[in-house]
Amino acid sequence: MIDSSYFQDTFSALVKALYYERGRGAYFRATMVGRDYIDRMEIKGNTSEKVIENCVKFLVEKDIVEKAAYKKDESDTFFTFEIKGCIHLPVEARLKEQGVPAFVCPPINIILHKIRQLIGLAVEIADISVNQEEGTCVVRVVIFKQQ
Amino acid sequence: MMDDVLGLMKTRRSIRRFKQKDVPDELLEKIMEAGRWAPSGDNGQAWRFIVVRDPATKEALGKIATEGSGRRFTAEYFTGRLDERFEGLKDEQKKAKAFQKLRSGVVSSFLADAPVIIVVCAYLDVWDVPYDVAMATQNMQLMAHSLGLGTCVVVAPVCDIVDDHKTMELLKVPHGYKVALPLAVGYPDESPGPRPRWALEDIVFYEEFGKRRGR
Repeated sequence: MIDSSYFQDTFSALVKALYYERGRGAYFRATMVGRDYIDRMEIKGNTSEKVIENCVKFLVEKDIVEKAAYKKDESDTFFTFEIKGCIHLPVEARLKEQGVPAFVCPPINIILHKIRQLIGLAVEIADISVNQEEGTCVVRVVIFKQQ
Repeated sequence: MMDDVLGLMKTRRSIRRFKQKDVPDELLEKIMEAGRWAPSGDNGQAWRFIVVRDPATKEALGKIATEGSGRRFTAEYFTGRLDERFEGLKDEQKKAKAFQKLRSGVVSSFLADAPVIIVVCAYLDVWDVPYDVAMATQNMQLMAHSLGLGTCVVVAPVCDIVDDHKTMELLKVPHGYKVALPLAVGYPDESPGPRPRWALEDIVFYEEFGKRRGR
């Protein structure tokens, strides 16, 4: 069996290296992480809600996340995702120990990429917060009404 | 000469409004010649320059910049970060207007209106890409200023890697190179004042970080 801590150590080291190169700007350099993987899969949907539902279903099936849910604010564009049991949590734990803020979320990148690709809407990650004790992440994103 | 150089640095401004007057090739060549003489790690000279004058290309760059800025500022608006940035501004009407401008992304649209955009690209197979191109760009900005021209670095079309790819495709930048930053160039049609600067005593340490003189 492959020792997953090897991947967690190497992935977190790469993320840390990126952060030390670009500082807060690293956020915007990591928005494609996860995209190649999902592009090899068959994900469909003709509304952003349907794309989110299908992506989450896929991520759960693949054991990438345990579950994910979201709510929208009154603007109908500002989404708050809560992700539980993400496979990347051990990476984030390592980064936190080293004082590196959370700025890469492959599951959300996957969802936003598919929305952009399938629906043509503009998307943007607003912020990411990780709660290691509860094993959850909260990721806030903007899904615009237009391109 | 020392005072001249410092004076040039102190009077340079980021110019976002340009006269609709073309910039002669010989001046652009002087600007790029200044870039060419920048220092670089291992003398790698990673910089490459694309001179863009075509209105359609400038418009496309401006569109990518506008969309990117608009997305980022909208996200900052929702998280409250914009409010933090503008906490000193008490006039709610002015604040709302500023937010609207930022969220629409038009703050970066001026890129399309610059008479010339010099897109600074970088060859990737060298050791110090970001530092090399930044030093070249600074040389170029100072040279432009000395020639009576204004410049502004506009990172909006390349800030997010997704936009970066669109920009590379637009400019047909091949693999092995990247777009580092577009530099808007033209005759200034505004005279902005200096932006605040930290005092030297706040940013200079001696022998180790945080250690100030005489302590």
